[in-house]
Amino acid sequence: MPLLEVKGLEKSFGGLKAITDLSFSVPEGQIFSIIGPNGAGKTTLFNLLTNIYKPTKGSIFFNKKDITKLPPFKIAALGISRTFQNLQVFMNMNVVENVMVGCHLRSKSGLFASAFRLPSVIAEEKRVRDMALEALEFCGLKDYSSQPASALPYGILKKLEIARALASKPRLLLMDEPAAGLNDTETMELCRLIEAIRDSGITVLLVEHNMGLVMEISQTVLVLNYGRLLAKGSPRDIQKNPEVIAAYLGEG
Amino acid sequence: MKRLLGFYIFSFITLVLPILFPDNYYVTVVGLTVLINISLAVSLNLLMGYAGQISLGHAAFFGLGAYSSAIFTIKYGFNPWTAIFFGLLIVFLLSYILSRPILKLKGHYLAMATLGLGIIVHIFFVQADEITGGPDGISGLPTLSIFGFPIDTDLKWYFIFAIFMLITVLLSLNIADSRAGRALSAVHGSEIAAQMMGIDTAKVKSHIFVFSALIACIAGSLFAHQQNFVSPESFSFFFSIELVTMVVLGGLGSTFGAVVGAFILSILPELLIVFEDFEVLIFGAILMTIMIFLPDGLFVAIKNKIAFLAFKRSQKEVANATS
Amino acid sequence: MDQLLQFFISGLTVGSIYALVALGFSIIYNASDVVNFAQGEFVMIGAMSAIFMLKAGIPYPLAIFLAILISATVGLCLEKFAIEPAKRATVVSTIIITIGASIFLRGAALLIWGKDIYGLPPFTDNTPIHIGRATMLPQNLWVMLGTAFLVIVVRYFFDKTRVGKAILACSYNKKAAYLVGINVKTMLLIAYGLSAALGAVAGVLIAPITFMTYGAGVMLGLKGFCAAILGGMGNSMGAVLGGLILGIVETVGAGFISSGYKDAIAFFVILLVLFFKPSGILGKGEVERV
Repeated sequence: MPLLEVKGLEKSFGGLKAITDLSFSVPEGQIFSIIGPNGAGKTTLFNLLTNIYKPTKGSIFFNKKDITKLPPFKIAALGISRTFQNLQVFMNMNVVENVMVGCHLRSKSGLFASAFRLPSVIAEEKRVRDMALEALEFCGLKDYSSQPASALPYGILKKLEIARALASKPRLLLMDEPAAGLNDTETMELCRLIEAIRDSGITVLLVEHNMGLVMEISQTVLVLNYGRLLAKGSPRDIQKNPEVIAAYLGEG
Repeated sequence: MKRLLGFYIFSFITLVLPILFPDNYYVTVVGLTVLINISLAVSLNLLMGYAGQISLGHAAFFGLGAYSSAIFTIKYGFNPWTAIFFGLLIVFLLSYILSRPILKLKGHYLAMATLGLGIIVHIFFVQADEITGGPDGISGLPTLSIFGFPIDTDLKWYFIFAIFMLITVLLSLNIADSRAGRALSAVHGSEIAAQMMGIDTAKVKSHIFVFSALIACIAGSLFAHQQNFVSPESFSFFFSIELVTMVVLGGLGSTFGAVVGAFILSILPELLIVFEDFEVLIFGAILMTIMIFLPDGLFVAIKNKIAFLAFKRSQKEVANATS
Repeated sequence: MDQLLQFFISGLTVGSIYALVALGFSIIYNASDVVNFAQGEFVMIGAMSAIFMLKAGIPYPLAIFLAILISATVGLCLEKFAIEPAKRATVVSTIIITIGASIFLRGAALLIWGKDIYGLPPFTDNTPIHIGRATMLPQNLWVMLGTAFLVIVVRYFFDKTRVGKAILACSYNKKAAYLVGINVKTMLLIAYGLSAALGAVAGVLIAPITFMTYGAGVMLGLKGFCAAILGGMGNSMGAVLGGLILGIVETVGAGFISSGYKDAIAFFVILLVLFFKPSGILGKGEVERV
């Protein structure tokens, strides 16, 4: 039973097709990677899955439910979270507050209750902070919790996005180039972190350029080229696939 | 206790001032303007500072509150409290209906839409003279009474305004440290990331727009009763800009920033009286200079500076301890 | 029918002015992504300077020329001293900076010229021309033809001249423009100067028809902004079209409803446009990138 199922997905910008007739499914519990040359449509695919872009055609099912037309916040509520290629950390908050926003779906005080700080709010506030600290600890960021996000280096912010996404307790986590801009040590740490996330029961959908990382931790690799599915299989199969090699060497 | 320490000190000062100086012009006359402007600036800051949504039409809701009180008490003979309730109802409906289409817009489009709304409401005050009394406005509002006690002196009004202002400040501080406040900050920081965290951004923006409008509306009703009359010029486009200036001057996103901004801008005309015609020029110059050189605002800039110094000192202590 | 024609003539006249203000708006917006709320003050400064130089005995054509020069200088100063130093500026802060500039310029005008209302004499003999039962003043023709001429000149400037193309390049991508050797700072200055000069011309053209005071720029500027949005923000021909449409709609609307609601009609139209088609008549939709 696949957790995520994509059927005949298409997206065109003006006349340009960014994704063409794409179908695949992601089984639960895997680290499932999507690779492809620059401009292959990987980030576009993520934006379609979370409905930040509206698909031109096709449909997307999550846990058997059609999510093609749902707004992003409802998709999030069903258990999909993501990180971004260009950081989207809330720079106007500190670290723990960022992650507390990630707990939005697991708490419920509204504007009115918050404004009057009803007793329920005070209790919930403490609970949410604990949940956030737990997510921070999982990502190794506990020491940074009271620092303002705007003062932190890039590598930490990347982890912060992961912690924030995890705080919503998703079933599926989309990660858009988490290793970009990280040094070797940081990349190694990231490998372990992604595996730990998978082991905690969260399915990971990964877009990444770092082939070493992808081949080491993925169960399935899907190759996109010019918005089309070029190949799909285990890391070992993909590395041997002549079409994939040709696409990467630029013979098209 | 610690979270609200600043608030307690501020409340103490606000409430003790008129007891110490009951006949001082700056307390009981200028003070009233200061208090009402603080309430308005704090309410606007909820929308502009917390949620990052600019509004150039906040004076419209202030005006609607004031005019509702005037019209329903004088023309239709309702009790002042009933009139305030009607005002709230009107502002609630109007702001709720308009909030979604308006807040779908961003940046200068949002600026234009809120500005347009403010101007239309103001033109209505000036033109619909059978209802609003036209450019002359409406005078002779009845005295407001609380549990049978009439509010009939400036000193009593000071306390009413002060309590209303302090409640506004407290609500604003509460929101800052809450799930709702973080959702607003998230919308401000990155709308897309906020949505991905499950925040219904359209709803969150709409709620804070309505909330902020309702506070302005009550402020308007109180203002109308205290002044005893309403006229369109108190609610023009320029007053909306002045409110924006207060929020920006103190520092967007900080409740006490809005308090400081409103305080400075409300007493400024009193201090500039000697300059008479220079007032407009100086006002414009302040607005520009602050935004160019201190885009975080006066209060926030000072606060950050203090935090930075404290941080450096703690770093030094760590260094000393380890060496 | 005659009444409609009369509205149409007045609408087209005031619409031409909106078009020039909107054109100035979009030049600055294109070059620097700034929505300049002080655009209306350029109009006021142009008109007031011309009025007072004429009073001082300077010949009319020279007074107009100097007025345009003064306004252009103010535009340059605005860029140099208010926009350029604001490095971290967000959309909201540039809006507030230009609002501040607009208040500042209004305050300066108040000090220099006082609160009185002034007018300019018409450019040429002002015997009304009759078209059916509608009438039209030669000054109306001056406004329309003057606007048409300027629109063509501006169009030519951006399409054909090196400097015009360089400004456009800055608007598409500042860094790339800089890398190919365009002096971005100078181009921005030129854009502000040009935009202010256009505003001044608008002021001089309209001052013989409506009157001028130190505060007259506010509404004109806001209407110009409306026109720019109506036409499609950043599209200069859209701005012109938006100005003309806005002028006609508000005059006709005011004629049939009540002249007191003239401004309300304009803003109501803009709210509708913003709610239903914020990209305007000729604008394109934008795609947000993540």
